[in-house]
Amino acid sequence: MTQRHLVRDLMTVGVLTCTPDATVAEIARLLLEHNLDGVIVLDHEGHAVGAVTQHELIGAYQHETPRALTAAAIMREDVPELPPDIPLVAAAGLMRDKGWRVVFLMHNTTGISYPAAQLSYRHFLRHLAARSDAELADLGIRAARQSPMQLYAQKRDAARRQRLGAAPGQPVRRERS
Amino acid sequence: MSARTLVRELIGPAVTCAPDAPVAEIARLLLTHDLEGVVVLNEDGHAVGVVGQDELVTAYGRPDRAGLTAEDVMNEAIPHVRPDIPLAAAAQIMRDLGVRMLFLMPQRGGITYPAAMLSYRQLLRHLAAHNDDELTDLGINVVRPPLARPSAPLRPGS
Repeated sequence: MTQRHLVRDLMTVGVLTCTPDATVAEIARLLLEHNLDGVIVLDHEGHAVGAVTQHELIGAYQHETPRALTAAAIMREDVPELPPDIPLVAAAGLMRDKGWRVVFLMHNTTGISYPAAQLSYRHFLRHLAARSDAELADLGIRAARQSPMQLYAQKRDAARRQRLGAAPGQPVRRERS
Repeated sequence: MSARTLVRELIGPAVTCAPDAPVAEIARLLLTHDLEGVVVLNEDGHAVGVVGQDELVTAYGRPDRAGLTAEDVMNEAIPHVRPDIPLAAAAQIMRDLGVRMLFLMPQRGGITYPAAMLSYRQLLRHLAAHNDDELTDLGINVVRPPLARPSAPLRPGS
């Protein structure tokens, strides 16, 4: 067990998002690929309008064609939120009481609400399981992160790769047009 | 792949632990195998409880968490399901009970043991699957037949 006491010491900075028209099948795939409990739904202005967690996806089974339902149809509009500066023990108790498997830390700027970080049951399990602090190096506000510029370059390269049909890892050259 | 899929077509193996397994070890087991929970077996191979992510997060909030074992935190009510009901019904049972896993619990020779399980994760895989080929590792035909004598406790991953 390592010395991490507050939500900000264990949370993951960065939240996956989807559009309101993303389908249940797409979101389920996203959650499985990234081992997540939920995503935030952003409208076309980048404003958080809801959340889709595993719970909402399983609820989709009550419809005849669950896979084709969209985020807008099944999302919960009240995003489960916690502040970053409360003790982890308190956060664990709150999440248990409320039945939230994931909470989000939201930024509010110029009338736009945007997800900045997340904390889920998986974080608590990893903390319980960790033999040393090194196993949690990717978690918390002090974890090494890519700069916005690095993220931009990564997304740009991925988009070019897709366009050129190049395999991941292969060098990408700018298209001449 | 249809909405009429039955529980038996999507079940996976159930993983078990001993009553004295430390919570840290169980947390590691769940993370490594992407599990919602494990069944606790006593010395006779009899299922006595379940430790899921809920129980572990409750344990996380306790001051004595470092010394806790499966026996200390387990829930003695093991949620179970029959294999021949539709997935939609199983999904509704899970939501009603507030659980994320259901076990197939046959009884033989006076012993109740977990033969297989259905969890949120399998349902998500079902929702995400483009075709049946992505789910060939699941279902009653690929689950190992129950042990004739479950006196030997099952090991994780077996």
